[in-house]
Amino acid sequence: MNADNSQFRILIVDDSDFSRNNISEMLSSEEYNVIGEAASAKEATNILKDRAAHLAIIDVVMPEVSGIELAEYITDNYTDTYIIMISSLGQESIVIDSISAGASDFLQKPFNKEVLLTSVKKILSNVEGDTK
Amino acid sequence: MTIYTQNISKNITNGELSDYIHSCFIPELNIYNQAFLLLDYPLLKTSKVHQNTKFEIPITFFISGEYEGTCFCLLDTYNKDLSIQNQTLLNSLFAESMNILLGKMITKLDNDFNISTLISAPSKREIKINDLENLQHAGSTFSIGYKLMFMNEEFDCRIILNMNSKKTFEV
Repeated sequence: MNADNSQFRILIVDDSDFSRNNISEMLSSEEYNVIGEAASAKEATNILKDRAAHLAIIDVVMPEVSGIELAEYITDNYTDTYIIMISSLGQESIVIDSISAGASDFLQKPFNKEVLLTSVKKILSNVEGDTK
Repeated sequence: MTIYTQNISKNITNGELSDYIHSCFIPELNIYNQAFLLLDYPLLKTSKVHQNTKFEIPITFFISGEYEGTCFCLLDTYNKDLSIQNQTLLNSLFAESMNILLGKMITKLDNDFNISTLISAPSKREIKINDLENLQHAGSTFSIGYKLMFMNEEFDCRIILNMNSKKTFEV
């Protein structure tokens, strides 16, 4: 039923290994292709150099380079990559900063599988035509 | 020279700050259906902070913005029989649980009381003896307790929070 989901390459960026594993399991259960899990912006950019992603799911608060800065970098350098920002913080200013940095959606932690998958599916419907 | 602080302009007393923070800590939190946090004891102004034991897993967050400070979170694993694999999972889950709990508190503090702060990413560095002792002399220090339910076990979790208004100096 979800065979088409495997064509979508998704990168997860979060300094919490618990959060990365959790999101990865949610996506893999629907057969999305998780191309990598990065614990930092540096790891994320290294993965993106080798493998293009349709979607990057990025935590806002990370040590050293923030998720917002990473989103700006991806928006500038990987124009085909959509972004969902995630954070335990949900202030309006953070949501605005996320959208300004190029994110298509913002999810406050903790979110359930349905919320994540609805957002992912909606965003990836924009790239569906390009992958066929 | 004029010296002023952000909270003076908002007329927030330490007592009010304590009430605000208390109301912003949610009583229970489901962590991705894998664990559950339940309020154990309410936010208390703290004058004596006990040193952490060797059984307590420490996670530290730094608070910045209108108020600055530190938050030490300690998970007591005394007398808990956990495999190395589950211990690793617990450490990771605890850090993310505290990140979510504090993130929700900071967000509510901003939304409900217009106090704008941020928290850092969690740090797993060891807590030194001076770290906790110094909090006793560092203005507004509070503690709050939660129970973390995970894998049919119940873990005591104490959160020690120090928040002080950011002083701005103007010459």
